[in-house]
Amino acid sequence: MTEIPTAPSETPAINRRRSPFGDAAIRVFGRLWRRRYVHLTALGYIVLLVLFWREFLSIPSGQALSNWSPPNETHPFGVNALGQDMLKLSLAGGAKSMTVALVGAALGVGAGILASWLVVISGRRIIGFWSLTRISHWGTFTPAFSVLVLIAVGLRPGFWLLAVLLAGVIFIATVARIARWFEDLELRGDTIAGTVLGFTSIQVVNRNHLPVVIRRGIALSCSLVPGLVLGETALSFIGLGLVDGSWGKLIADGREVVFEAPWLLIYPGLVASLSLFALASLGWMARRSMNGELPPRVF
Amino acid sequence: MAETEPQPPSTEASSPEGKKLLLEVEGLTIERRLPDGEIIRAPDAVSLWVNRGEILAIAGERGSGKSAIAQALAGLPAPRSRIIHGEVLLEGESLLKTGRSRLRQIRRKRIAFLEPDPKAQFNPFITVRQHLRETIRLAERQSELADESEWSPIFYEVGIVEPEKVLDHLPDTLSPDLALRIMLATALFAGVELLICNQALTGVEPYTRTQVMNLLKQMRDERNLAILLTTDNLREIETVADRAIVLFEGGIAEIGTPERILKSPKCGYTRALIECIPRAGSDRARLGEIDTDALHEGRIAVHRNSSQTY
Amino acid sequence: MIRFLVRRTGIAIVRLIAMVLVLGTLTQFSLWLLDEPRQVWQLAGSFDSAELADFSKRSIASFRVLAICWTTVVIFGLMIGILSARFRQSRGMKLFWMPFMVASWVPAFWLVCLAALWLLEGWGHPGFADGEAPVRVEGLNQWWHASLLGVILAAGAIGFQYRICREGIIRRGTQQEFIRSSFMRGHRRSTIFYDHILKNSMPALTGVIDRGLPATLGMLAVSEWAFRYPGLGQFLVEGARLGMPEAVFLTAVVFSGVVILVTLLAEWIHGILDRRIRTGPYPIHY
Repeated sequence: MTEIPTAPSETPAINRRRSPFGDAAIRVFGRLWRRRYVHLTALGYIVLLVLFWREFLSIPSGQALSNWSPPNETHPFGVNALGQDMLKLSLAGGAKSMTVALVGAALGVGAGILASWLVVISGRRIIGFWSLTRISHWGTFTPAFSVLVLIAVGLRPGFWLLAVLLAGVIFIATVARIARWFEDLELRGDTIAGTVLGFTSIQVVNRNHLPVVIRRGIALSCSLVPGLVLGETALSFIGLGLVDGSWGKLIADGREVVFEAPWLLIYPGLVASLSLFALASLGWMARRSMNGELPPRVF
Repeated sequence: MAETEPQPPSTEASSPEGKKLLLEVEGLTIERRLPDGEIIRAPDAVSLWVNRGEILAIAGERGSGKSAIAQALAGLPAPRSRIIHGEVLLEGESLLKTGRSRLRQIRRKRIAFLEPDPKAQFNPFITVRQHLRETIRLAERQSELADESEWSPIFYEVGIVEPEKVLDHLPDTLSPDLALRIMLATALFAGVELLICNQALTGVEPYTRTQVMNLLKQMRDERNLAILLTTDNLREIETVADRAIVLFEGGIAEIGTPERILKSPKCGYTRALIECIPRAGSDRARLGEIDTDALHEGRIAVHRNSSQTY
Repeated sequence: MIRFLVRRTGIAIVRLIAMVLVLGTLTQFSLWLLDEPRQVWQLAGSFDSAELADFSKRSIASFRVLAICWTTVVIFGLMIGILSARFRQSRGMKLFWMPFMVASWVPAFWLVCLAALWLLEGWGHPGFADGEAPVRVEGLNQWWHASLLGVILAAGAIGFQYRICREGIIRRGTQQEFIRSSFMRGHRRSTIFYDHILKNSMPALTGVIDRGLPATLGMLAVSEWAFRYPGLGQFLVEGARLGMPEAVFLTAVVFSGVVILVTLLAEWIHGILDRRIRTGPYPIHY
């Protein structure tokens, strides 16, 4: 037997007034929790920067006239021929690679958003989305690494030039996707509603579409960082990237003496692999939490 | 009141109208988790039955649990939902407790299921002919329907006059109405006994809807099919149903013949729902709305009906 | 159908020509930056005949690696992708694809160095190819050398390939409406997956066999250099380190030719398999 429901005598919980501060706090934390992986990723980068900014600024000084030594208590990753601690070197190399990758990804995705936005607010009269799509399509069968090497041979890029080159790769790879976001958002109900209310199409795009695209773009660039770190490591491994103390340079140096001093090869590579995998996992989760919940599984 | 309510006929002995009980649902309760974590119970302890040669219509608002009932009858509850109590009997055989392979046999030969958006129910890469051949193979009716010349009567029955033009098409190129007719034909190819139309007429244009409703009645009479129709449209009840159920918040607010429900509704909620139908010749500028009293009355009716055992 | 194939071939040729033009422009730009008096169109003057013969031998060596690598990637990537889509709900399936997932984020050239170290420890055989390998290509151009590189590269590429396959199957198959109605019609679960979903997503799956190839070629170049394997990749890296953009240009052209060829192959298979391309459009039937 169920009870006959009666009309509620007291004010239901949903109608009760909450304090405005509590309300705002709940809303903010709810939003943070729903996008938790994005924030965790961002937090991870900030922690890395705070922890290793010294290493990023300066390469650890070695003791003159010392020889390399295998791992011991004071130097758990060993010491290289210049007397530098390999642990500190690996962390500094990671900071360099990750910074250039982060800047590259942000620049590339930002340029993609800017290009698509310009196409949208110009009313697609000058160039259409198809030209952006075509750029990405050409990117799918371009051997990007060979092209990067070809450019780097003459330019010998430093930090910013390398970041811009990587950003170019990212731009080519992602601009079609970003243009498609704008295209999909145009079909949403709030576009029509905004137009009916008398907003211009530029206003609708700026108020309703651009924030969504920027949010998704942040998640996208988070997920692209590990790939760029890998690319930068490969470039500096062959001597064309950031040559002063990046992961690739450390591994290349270790390769020369792999049989005599294997710790110079193994530990930087181990740090690089673990960091890359951690970054990649965070990037997937960030993208997944940005894309929203997947439809229910039938299979 | 108990005398006026219809009673389910027994499975063995046929009732005076020659109708035999086919499907029986007892106390079906389904929980569904909404995306925001809230858990709703719809249907909640619903009991109903369908006879052979009868059309039972379940009407209700969105979220009242009619689709959940229909899907549970086919043994495939919607994602994120769970049958927590109840029993579904097809001629005394439980559909919820039976094994997988037996359930497959029942789905192949005895039950057909029509969902909204009929075009999406086809595999987009196989032609209509392949689809129908697959149906015949699954229902093991190769002996009767192996030759394609034996297919045309069924096509004429569902209103497809030039079947040879349709058979080689992929589903992308069918119109929704034609796809609905082919789904009905699929049910006839399989030779089913129970046809579950889960809001199958919702998106269909009015002219075709009328035709299909006549078709359902014809199938009921000629093939002695039991048809369960869920709808949010009281007009469909009026046109096609032999018996009707009005669902409210997962419970039965009213049960009876459509004439009785529409002419003299017992429950205030049903009355308010009927007020919401636009009528020709009505001089009222506004349609009715469902107020708090109607909702309260609906809850009381649901409670009364759920405590009653048929 | 024939028109489709011919059109795709024409597009591939146009792509190749455009790629050669773009790469040539970049090479000329690099030459200009390096203050070299050479021109890119005087390419034949930059290499003598012995170097060109060496180049063709290197190509064979690299294609040997690619053949091992890409066959493995396509077969294993498809297999793991299909299985993980089929048993998506079972958590134990993670054990199958997780190692490849991890391998895809490990720098391949580092793994190659480790493998060389391991070879020395285990077999007493110097893992690296000899420093003079390019001169004595015949003796070193062996399958076991190629397979070491190919398998390590494949382990990473499978991680990407399987993900693309899985997403393709899930998006084109399991999330569609007709799966539910197939259950209602009394199909078996396995029949629905293998006969309906997999058949439907097969064209899409063949369309992605070229997707990870450019990245793999980049890793191939670096790994060949790390292993001192006498292939095209080493040629590219050595050329880059010595400041010879022509060598990079030549290799990049061959690499883009490979990618465009595989893309063309994927498009052909897609066109043959996809029924909607094969039969052409029907008018809507009302």
